[in-house]
Amino acid sequence: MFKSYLVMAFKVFMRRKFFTFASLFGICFTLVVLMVATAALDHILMPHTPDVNNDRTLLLANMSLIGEGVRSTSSPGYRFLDQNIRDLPKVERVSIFTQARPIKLYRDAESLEVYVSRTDGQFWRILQFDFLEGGPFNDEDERDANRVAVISRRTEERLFASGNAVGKMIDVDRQSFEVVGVVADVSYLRTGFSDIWVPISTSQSQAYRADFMSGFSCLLLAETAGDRRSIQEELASRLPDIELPDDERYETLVVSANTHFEAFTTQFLSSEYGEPQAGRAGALLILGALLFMLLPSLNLINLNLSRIFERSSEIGVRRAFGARSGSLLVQFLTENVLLTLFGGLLALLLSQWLLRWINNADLVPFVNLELNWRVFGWGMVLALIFGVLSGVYPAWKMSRLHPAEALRARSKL
Amino acid sequence: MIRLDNVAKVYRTARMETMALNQIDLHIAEGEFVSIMGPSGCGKSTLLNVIGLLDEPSEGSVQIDGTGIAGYSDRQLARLRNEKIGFIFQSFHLVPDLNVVSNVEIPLLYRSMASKERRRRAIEALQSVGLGSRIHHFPNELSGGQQQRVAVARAIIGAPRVILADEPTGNLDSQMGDEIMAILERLNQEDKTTVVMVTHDAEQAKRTARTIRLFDGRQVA
Repeated sequence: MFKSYLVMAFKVFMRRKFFTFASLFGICFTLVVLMVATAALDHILMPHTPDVNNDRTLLLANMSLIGEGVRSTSSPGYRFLDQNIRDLPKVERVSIFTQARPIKLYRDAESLEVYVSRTDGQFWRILQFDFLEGGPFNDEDERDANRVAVISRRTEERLFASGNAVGKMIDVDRQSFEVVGVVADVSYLRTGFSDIWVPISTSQSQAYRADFMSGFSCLLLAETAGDRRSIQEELASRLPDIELPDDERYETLVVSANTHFEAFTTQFLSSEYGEPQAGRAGALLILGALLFMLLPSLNLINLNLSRIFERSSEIGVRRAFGARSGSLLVQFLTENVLLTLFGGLLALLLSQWLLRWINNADLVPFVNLELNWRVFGWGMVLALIFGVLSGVYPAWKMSRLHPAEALRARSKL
Repeated sequence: MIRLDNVAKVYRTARMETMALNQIDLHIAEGEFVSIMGPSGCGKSTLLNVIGLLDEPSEGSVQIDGTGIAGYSDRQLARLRNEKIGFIFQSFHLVPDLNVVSNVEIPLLYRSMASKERRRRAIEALQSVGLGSRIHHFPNELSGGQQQRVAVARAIIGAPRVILADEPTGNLDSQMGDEIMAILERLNQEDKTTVVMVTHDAEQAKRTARTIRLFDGRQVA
């Protein structure tokens, strides 16, 4: 029976070429947009180099000091992180680092803008960069303020035409650093993005060590993925006891150690005090996808409904010769789901092309959006939801047609 | 084979009621060839739909092969139609997206049967109506007479006990109409299939064993 539904669907698609084209166009367009969005979310949220451990990491990137009618929000300071985070239980590693900031480098007379991040030795053990030459600097380099640097492939190409940068010197903020490693370019959207990484302790001023607030981020590697919740709770329980820098002005300290997803969602959706709203964000993402599918679904429903009258004769005949309402429902739903799955496959091919274009266009530095099995799976799930969403009502309506009326409608044509 | 007792069919809209059938008592024996005649709008097709379980009577009872169908579910009615009744329509009602042999297979799709067996029977049915060489054609590639013969093959493929034909020659010229009548007569005489045929043609009605006449929804003869 199911085989005959598939054969029937194929024949309908082949014989009604305009309908098939119009439906596939709508399905493809919708799914391409959703698949590109899925690929972008996959790129940001799922483990990719260097965030291969992101199922075990927590990121501290924001803090808020709140007082009577005043609130100050910024990144955490080195002192706060150094004194309060390192000894959290169930934490395997802690890395303190600065977010990448742009600086000017000079090669001959040419000025180049590059991003620099200051990090510690643990940074390279939590994040797994792809080293093309040399290796990372370590905790001793950070402790001894050794002037060593890791640079990205692009920076190597821009600064050293001949390549082989390891052992060569570069000038950053009027200081000379020896290149000890070259890593593959890192996407702008990933934790740890930069062009050049140098030890924190090589900063010209050591004043950062006294700052409670501003300038740094912190990555925590939990012993297991499940430990992250207890680490977050332990951090929250410590906050009331932490001495605030201006306790006459501020009464409350809010800091969250966020999972990768929470950190991402906090950027565009946060509570009054910057706390993560992961559940709400997840629901909004799903709702957004459904809403985005709603309009083309309504169009497809409309298109399908207009076919009811056209196919009323077939419905009447099938009912007359023994089809139950349920059989017709399954038949028409199968046709729609098959069409959307085919549209989904086409959308995958188009998405592949579009993602390659986005990657090559360098709209976001070093972003490498790709279709992997996870994105493919989500794409097919979206296609299936789209197929069912746009097919159920017309199929139900078709299956409920009264057989005598269905035959009469056709006879009047 | 078919028994209708005091059957009425009323179509109701918000403004009016139309009595399509009124107090119909009818008994058609197994193996009979019966024609139904009457002016347009007198309820002939409605009567055929009620007999064929495509429409429910507003009043009265319908029995097919000794079984009353009152209270039957959609599933039970579908099964009864599938196993006992074959339909032939004036406007053929072939599915334009399917080729001839696939059209004929339709009744067997709703039985558990291997696709090879289904195909074998469809070809056999088409051969019996003289269309064995057209099995891969599409309906729009056939003449009206050929399309109706495909419809006859579809009606008989499931070996039904009853064939209900609603003006089967209404859209055909006289020669093709004769061909279809000859097939129906053969089915009735050789296979003992009960045939109930709605017709406007008095000559064709004369070829049947009995004629039921309707006027304004009532049986007048």
